[in-house]
Amino acid sequence: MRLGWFTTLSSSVLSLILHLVVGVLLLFSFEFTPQPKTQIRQDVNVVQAVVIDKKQVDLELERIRKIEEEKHKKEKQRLEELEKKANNLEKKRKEEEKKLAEAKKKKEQEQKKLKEEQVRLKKLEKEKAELKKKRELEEKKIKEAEAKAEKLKAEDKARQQKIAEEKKVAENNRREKELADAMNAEETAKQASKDQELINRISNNIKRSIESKFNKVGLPDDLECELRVRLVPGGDVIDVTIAKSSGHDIFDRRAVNATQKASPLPVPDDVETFERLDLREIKLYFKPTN
Amino acid sequence: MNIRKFGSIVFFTHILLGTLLVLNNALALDITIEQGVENPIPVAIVPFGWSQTSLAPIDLSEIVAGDLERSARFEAMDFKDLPQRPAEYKDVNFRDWRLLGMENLVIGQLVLTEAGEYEVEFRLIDVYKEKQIAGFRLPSTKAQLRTTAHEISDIIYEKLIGVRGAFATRIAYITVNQKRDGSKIFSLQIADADGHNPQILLESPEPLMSPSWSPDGKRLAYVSFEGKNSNIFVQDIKTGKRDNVAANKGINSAPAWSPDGSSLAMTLSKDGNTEIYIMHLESRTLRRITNNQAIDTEPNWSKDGKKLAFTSDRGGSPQIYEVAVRGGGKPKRLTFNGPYHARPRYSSDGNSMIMVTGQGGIYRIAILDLRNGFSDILTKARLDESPSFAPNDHMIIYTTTGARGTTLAAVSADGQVHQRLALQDGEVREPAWGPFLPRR
Repeated sequence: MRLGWFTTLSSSVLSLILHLVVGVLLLFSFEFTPQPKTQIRQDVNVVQAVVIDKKQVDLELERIRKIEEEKHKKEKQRLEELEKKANNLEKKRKEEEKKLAEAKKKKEQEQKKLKEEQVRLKKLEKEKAELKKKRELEEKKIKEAEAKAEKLKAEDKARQQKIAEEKKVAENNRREKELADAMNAEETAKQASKDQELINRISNNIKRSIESKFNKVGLPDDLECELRVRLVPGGDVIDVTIAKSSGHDIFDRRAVNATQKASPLPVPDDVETFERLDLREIKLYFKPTN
Repeated sequence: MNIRKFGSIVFFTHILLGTLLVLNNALALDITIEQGVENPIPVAIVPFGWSQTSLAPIDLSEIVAGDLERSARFEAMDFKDLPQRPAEYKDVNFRDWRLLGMENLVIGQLVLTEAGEYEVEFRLIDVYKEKQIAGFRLPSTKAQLRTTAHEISDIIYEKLIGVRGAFATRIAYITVNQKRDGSKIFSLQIADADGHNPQILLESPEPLMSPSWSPDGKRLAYVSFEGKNSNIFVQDIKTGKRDNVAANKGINSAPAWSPDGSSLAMTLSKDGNTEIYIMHLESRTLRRITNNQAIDTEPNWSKDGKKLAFTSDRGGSPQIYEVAVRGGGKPKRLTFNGPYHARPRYSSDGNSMIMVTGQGGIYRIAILDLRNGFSDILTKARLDESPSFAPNDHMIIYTTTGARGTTLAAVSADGQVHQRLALQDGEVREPAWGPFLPRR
């Protein structure tokens, strides 16, 4: 029975210790690795039941108690140390963690920075590329402009050369023409005087033909009027207007009638001559003398 | 020659490009028409339409054509040559008429109104202008239709010549007929200017002489020997009522109506010598105009009423003299060229005077241009007498004596046209052309 008690006692103590340990362990084990539990189990001294006299037992007990106490103390110390250790560990872990977090943060920041830097670099690169492109474009433009200017210049030069040449040719032509004209002057004069003769002849014919139709019968003297007559090639009178009236209706009417009755007026049949002599419109002054 | 040619100057020194341009611009023709012809004016008178189906009471177009032709200023187209006979303006085919050179066209119609009167409508058309020159509607009566036709002639004449025609006027004259017993019968007659419608106003066994129209055409003054002495009478044409206005001792002759109608100039010998007097008709007072030993007779008024022309032998032979009606003064001799000038008649425009000029027993009608003193002999027979101007001065009626006796003749004032008006039996003397009828 003693044994039982001892056993019981020792098992109670053990149980208590165990409980404590477990409790302490439990207290920390949630967040830690299961390693310390295992350790604690290995450190526990399994008590060997031996029968001793009371004194001895007491002594023993006392010794045991003391040992236990020591043990307990030690355990407690150890636990405290452990706890401390754990705390330190925790602290360390936390610090580590913090450190880690900080490092992570730092890394993240660095990464971010890096990324930003990369973006910036990319942007820069892009800008650079654009700039380059732009510059290239500008360069190209400038080159083109230059080419164009060059071309224009060349063209201008060519043109001026051409003008100069043309001038020269024209000058030559002019000289030639002058020469020719000078040579033809007499010819031209002849043509002009021929036209003049023709005009005189036409004038006379028209005059005679209208005078033969202009009926003065019963009209007072000293009247005058002016008619504008439009002709077509062939001499047909297409319009007669009184440009200046005599003030005497009948005189005016007789003049108009004479002109219309004389139609077609005697002009050259040939259209070219008709146009050259400008016979489309003629003026008639009716100014009969007695 | 008067043809202007601006192109006649061609600048040979500037023979470059300009030559053609100069030619083109300058050679526009300016022609002066200095001559003309004096031809009758062509006119086509289309037979007038007639509103009834019966025969028209008168051929108006024939009378008009006759009038115009007689004036010698017109040439009426033969009716048979008319290319068409439009009665209305819208039916006129101008092209056809122009092709024939016809300048003037007269169309019209005679309408019998519901009241039984007549109405003559006519248009004068300028063929070349395609425009109406004149258009009239003249009311008439059956008895007046001839006169209406003459009025149409007058209008046409005025529109185409510029002077009123004298077709719708009358003439007065004296006829002498020999009866079977050898005695003579004198009569004072009036007729239309074309000789139609003669009317006897007075018949007498004694001579009748010197008819003179009142300016309103309603009365005639004349000389009658019915009392064996020459007396001056004034007779109302319509009523036949007559007044013996001058019955002095000796000669009472050659009455001439003043243009204002108030007075008669006449020749009287009551004071011993034949002198010119002016009688105021209302008061019958006389004013002596001439005072000379010679014979002064045949007075005629200038149309402004300011002067009298008369025949006088005060220079040794009968010549024409002119004297101011007011203030008297010394008469001015107008005729010198020839031994005999008598019976002066002023023209209406005062520019000329007609008279009888005689030499070597030959008497002819002469016209004196009062502006320059030149005279022309207008007639060609041996005994032409008693000239009288038409109121428009274009024609002169006179008597000519030949193998067929003494008859009426007419000559244009320019001497171009001569006509005989042999309408009367027997001898015709002293024609007097009446005044214009009042315009309507």
